[in-house]
Amino acid sequence: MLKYIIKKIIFTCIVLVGAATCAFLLLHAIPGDTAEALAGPQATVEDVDNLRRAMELDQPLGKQYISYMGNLLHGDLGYSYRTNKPVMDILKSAWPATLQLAVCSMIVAVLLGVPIGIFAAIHRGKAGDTIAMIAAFLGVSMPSFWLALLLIIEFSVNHNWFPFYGREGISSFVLPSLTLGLGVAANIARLTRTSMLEVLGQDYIRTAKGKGVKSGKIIWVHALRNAAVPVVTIIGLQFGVLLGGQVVTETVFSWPGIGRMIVDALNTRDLQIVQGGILILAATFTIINLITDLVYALLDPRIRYS
Amino acid sequence: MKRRMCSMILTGILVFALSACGGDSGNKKETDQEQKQEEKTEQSDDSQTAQVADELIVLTGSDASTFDPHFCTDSATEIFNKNIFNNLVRFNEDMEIEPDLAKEWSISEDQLTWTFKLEEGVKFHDGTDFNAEAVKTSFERVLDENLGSPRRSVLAAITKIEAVDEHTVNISTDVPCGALLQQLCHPVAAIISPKSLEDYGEEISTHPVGTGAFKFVEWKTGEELVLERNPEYFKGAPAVEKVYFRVVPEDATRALLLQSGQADVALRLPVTETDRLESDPNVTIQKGDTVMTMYVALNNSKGVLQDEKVRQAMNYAVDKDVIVNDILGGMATVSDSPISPYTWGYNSSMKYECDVEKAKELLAEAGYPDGIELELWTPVGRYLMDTQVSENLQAQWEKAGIHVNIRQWEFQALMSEVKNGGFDMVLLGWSPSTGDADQGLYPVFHSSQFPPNSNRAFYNNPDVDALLDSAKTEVDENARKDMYAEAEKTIMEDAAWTFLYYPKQALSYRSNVSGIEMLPTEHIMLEKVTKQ
Repeated sequence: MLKYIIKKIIFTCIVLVGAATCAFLLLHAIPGDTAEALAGPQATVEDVDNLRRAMELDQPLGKQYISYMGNLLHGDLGYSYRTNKPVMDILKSAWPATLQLAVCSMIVAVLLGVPIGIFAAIHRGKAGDTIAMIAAFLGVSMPSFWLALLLIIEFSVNHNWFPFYGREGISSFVLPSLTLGLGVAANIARLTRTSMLEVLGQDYIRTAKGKGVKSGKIIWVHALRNAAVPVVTIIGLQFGVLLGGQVVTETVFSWPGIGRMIVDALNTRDLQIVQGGILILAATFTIINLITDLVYALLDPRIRYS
Repeated sequence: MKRRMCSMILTGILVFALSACGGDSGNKKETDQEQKQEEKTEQSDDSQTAQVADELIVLTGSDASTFDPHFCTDSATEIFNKNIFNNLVRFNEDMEIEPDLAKEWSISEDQLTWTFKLEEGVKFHDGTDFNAEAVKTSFERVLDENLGSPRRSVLAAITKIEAVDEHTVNISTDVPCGALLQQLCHPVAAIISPKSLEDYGEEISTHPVGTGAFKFVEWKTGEELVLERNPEYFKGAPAVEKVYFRVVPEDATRALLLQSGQADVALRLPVTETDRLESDPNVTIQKGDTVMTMYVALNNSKGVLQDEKVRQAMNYAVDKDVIVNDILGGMATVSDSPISPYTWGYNSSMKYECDVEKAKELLAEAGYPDGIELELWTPVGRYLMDTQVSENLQAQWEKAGIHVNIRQWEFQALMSEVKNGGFDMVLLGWSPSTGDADQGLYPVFHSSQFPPNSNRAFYNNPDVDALLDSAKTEVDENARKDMYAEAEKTIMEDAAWTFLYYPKQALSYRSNVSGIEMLPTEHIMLEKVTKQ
């Protein structure tokens, strides 16, 4: 196991170097010049040239890459072209905001999705199943922007129960977590249902039933554990989606997270921030994959790592 | 027993998988919240002792970029800087020049040296004195080519700054500069405390020290900017203790926060939101003109658009009132000059009234009785309703036999590609931030300014070049105005662009707030704000 973890960590480092290189090359390949974007459409050619020289953007690409990677090894992600703030400082404030929101949303999603999926599986073909799956279908297809505004109007404007601006106190997590969590819950519910149905048809479940084991135990202990591997996979994947794909929700709720930061920075060609953001997301995603892999082993002893 | 253990482990793992990722940050979140609550308590303690309104919450769509006014290039950040710094002179709401840090000024007989008498007893936020040396330091910093200010060109006419005595400064130019005062109103001409430049070095961008009505307190990237009142402000301390500029990018959220009373002011709400808010008695919507002009740059150097008659047809074929009323909800005025009425030197030259038959005739005269086919490039989301405006233009042109295909672009990519000149037409806006015809016309119509500079229509008329050159160095206001009037008329007749409209701006605030100045340069001044 330890050997496996060490191997994974080395692999993670390789992934990060790859991600940094890809980010660097791709960002320099997109149309639109950084110095021009920073100087704005009104700047003269001299203005842009002065700025380019002052920011050392006139250096050859290879030289810029070597200096970027060199700094990266020292843990220096550079400075934002636009604000001159260290990228690390900006990430330190944006990344926790995104991570906290992703964790809260995932808690909402798991607490709702898994029970609904099990419920639908047990009541297969009955009214409960149909209702649960229609709800899940709605959850998957509802645009988060629209859902967010509905929640704001009902719970903030009409009733003033929860704030809908910024990140102050637990209550500010409620609406954004629901907005993000409901969609993911719907995915988890559908997958849990399918996976449970498959397991419930297995011989050992029939055996357990025949032995007179209580149905609650059969479902929660025998079936769920075996149905859990694909569910854990989707949780891991959806967590990645939650980390990188919250832009709309972060915008509506003025959440100072990383998705919004990357999109804003991309629009202004503040490439240092985009690179830093991509790196930290890549790192988080690889770590989540690692954890997911380890959880498989704990869930299913047949999965072993050498 | 064993099975119960298993189920507990399973639940535990799920929780662990989530909490392990959150782990550390969970604690940090709590600490952050505690800190915020402490700050909140402190704030309310302060406000109890203060006589003035304790806070003003202003919602802004975009975050600040840099608090170094010499490097700032976006009008959203200029709003913050304008409330922290002063210039020598400033615009009022009618775009007239008023004294700011300079009490009075005069120009030498040879028209090359301007003498400014400075306000006395003014102090920077760090306690140091404002004086002629500070003016010299700030302007020389902007003009330092190695420093790379992206707005150096605004002050580039200045060749020498001399501190005559503590409160007198001479500014010299090599040739007379007619727009110097307007240039000194530009945000890049803000006066920074020389001591702060020494103290903070490269970190000056997050440590602004000016003489303005408000002092910088704190900036949380992507969240909020906090300013506090400068009790020693030389024009009288403002009546609000603290101003919180909060970043709320979504228009609908800004409107809802204002409506529910959780904010006092909302900047830059689109017409869809202001229309809805207008019926709310607790909200005031203040509308105003801007110096901006929207246009379609017709590529004067390419294909059929080289023909003046075709370009005129492009103008006659469009009913701009339809765009202004139906798409922009009345939040614009139809163009009758290349520059807006709030730009110094504006002259109502001529309007292309919509006349589809005339457009068809002009096309036929030009040799295209069966119509023409062109491509319109448009940015997406850069200007208010830009895509809709382009689609409407396409439909209107179609009626006159001008078949237009639209190509949508991300703005920075568009600007890069436009430089290469391979386009037919491109929808753009121009906002002369010095508020003067020199910046309104010279960069976009002088033939020396072809891309990569801003004459993106590749417009070339030697008469206009000559007029713009002479007006640049003319100091007599009337003579300058006449030259610009003639240049504007020629540009309109040449149909260098398809002239569209001048966008308006809207400021929305709670009805207990008053005294906010909204300038046509889209700057919002809070020094006289009051809140009941």
